[in-house]
Amino acid sequence: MKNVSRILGIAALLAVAVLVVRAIRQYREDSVFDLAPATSSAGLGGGSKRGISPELLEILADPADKGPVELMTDDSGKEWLVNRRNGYRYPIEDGIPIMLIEEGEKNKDESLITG
Amino acid sequence: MTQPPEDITNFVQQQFGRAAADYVTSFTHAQGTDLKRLVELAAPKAEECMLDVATGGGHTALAFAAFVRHAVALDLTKPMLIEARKHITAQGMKNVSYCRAAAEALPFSDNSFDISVCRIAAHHFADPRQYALEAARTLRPGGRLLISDHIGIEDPEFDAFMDKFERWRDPSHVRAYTYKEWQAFLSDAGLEVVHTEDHDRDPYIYDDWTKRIRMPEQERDALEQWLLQAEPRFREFFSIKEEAGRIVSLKSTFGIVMAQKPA
Repeated sequence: MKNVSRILGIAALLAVAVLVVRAIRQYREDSVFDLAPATSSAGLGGGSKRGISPELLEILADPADKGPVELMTDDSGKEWLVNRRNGYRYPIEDGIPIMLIEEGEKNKDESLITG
Repeated sequence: MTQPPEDITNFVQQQFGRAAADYVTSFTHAQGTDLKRLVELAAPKAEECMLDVATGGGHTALAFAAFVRHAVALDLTKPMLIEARKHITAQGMKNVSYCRAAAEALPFSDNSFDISVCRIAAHHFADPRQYALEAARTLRPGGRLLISDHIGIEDPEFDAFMDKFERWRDPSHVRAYTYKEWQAFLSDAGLEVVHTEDHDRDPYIYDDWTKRIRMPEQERDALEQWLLQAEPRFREFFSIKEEAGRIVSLKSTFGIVMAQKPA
């Protein structure tokens, strides 16, 4: 009887250990996705993988002053197209850049202005 | 019948946000023979980059994607872009990008595109002159702009009749511009109109045409009554077909305008 309960105990411990390892592994994988910039799917043209294609990024401009914008990720992992001249930030939603002047103005961050 | 709302941009967004999926499947928008003609006229090359302004169901971007290096599908409404992306990726096209923006304030650097197309949409624009300026700015020298749309009629009475039924059905229909008006908008923007042609589109099937836009039943009936009472000259011009006291179909005038940015 003693042996049986010992074996059961070890088995239970092993099962718990496996669950813990799996949970840690899953958490790490999720974190990798959190950190991955959208540009990781570059070249897929915003198809099934949600990212901005380099071809689009190259020609995108602020609809307000028509100058270039920069792809930036904020602390929460959200991506923006930023105009460093006026601080306008245009959000990217579901892989689609929202390039409406009122959106850029609404999300303006003056701390991003350089030069 | 209502006048176009002052905030037409907002109104267009509401209108097409609601009916987005219907525009992917709409026969008029998906199968228009003008699509083939637009590709033919634009003569796209493999290294070129094209812009589809007000892509709607994505049909124009899809038609060009097979011939160009990169196509950008642009629309004012996000639900439309999501539907367009679903439709285009389902066809296996991977060289199309999507972007939400207004036609009058294009989010692209100068000289970005070789080809710029706007199909069945310019009649919704709040400011076609500003759109023409933006199209010209974002086109590279030598680039081609193609507009396929409702075309206004030179005779003001017939033009007013068409304007009335179009806007009654769809209050976001601002105006169908005549070739003369396009000529003025485009030359003011520094483009040279190189070609115009009428496009004989299939008639509107009244039932589908009014339901697709989610016209309230009461308005559908009222418009039908108004069409049934139209003078013979209008009935003839717009091919208004009637069967057992119901409107079956009618026609509107369409055309293509092609312009080029001087090299």
